[in-house]
Amino acid sequence: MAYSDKLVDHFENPRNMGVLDKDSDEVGTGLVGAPACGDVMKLQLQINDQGIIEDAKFKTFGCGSAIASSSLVTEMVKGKTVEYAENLENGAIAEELSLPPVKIHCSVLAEDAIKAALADYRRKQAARNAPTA
Amino acid sequence: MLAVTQCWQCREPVQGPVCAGCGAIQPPPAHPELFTILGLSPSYTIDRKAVDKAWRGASRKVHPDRFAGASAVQRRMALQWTAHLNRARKVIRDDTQRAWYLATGSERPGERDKNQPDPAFLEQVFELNMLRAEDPAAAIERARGLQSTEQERLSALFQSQAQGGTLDGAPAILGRLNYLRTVIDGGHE
Repeated sequence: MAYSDKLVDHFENPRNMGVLDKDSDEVGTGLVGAPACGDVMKLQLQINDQGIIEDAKFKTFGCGSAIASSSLVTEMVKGKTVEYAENLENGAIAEELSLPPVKIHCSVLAEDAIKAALADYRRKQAARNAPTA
Repeated sequence: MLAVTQCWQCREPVQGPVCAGCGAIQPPPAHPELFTILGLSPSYTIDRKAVDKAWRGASRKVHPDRFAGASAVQRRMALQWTAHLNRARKVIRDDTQRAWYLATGSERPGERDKNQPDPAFLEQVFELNMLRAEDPAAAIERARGLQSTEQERLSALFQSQAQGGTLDGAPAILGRLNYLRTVIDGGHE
């Protein structure tokens, strides 16, 4: 099976690998897994008051396609709005990396990780804005 | 028990892959029950030697060499039967695949299976994967500990099924076993 140059590049030189402060109110953390292959992906987004994603980091334990998908997705959302990230679909990732059909689920995992991170961020914001009893 | 059908060649009733009357091999079902085609009853507890013996016996009857002089259609059926029997033996001998098969009818979770384990477990798996990079022996030991707990749970579930319980909890346990296996093997294909 031949993988695209872009996929190999993201796998060999992953962008934005690392961690952000998970306790910060500005950081949303998403942790998702794929039961079929046992892959786990952690993705974090740092979002400012204007709803701009200032930073994105990931750490993935999985196959090359899962690593490349998470690396690419952090690059895609950095500097963009929350709305952009919300509407990001796995098809865009799969297309960009020319993922073979058996690896499409890796891009689904990356989409799920972004959504989970945004949900976590929203939870934190809601908790912060809630009137304290 | 295999269903009784009518031999496509001599029209006599036939049970099993080969007609007792005329010796013609019968078309295999598209999705045969894996225990039944080996002549076994579905069960989580197995005796590997008995499985191998059943597989050998069943394979002999449909061995392609036996049909080398038969028509092309019969030669192809012999190959199809043999493939089913080999798959049945492989799935039944493997603890995880057998459990999946008994609980869900397929041998493994689908690629789009969204059945997420609880967040605390996923976090634990993530930490074990982190630890594996620094201290593989320690990570593998801890993963093995969790693995045996899950395996005991699975056995208990199948035991309770024998007394009328359901296997509803099996996919969640098997999913957790899959994550742990990846930590232990260190392999991501």
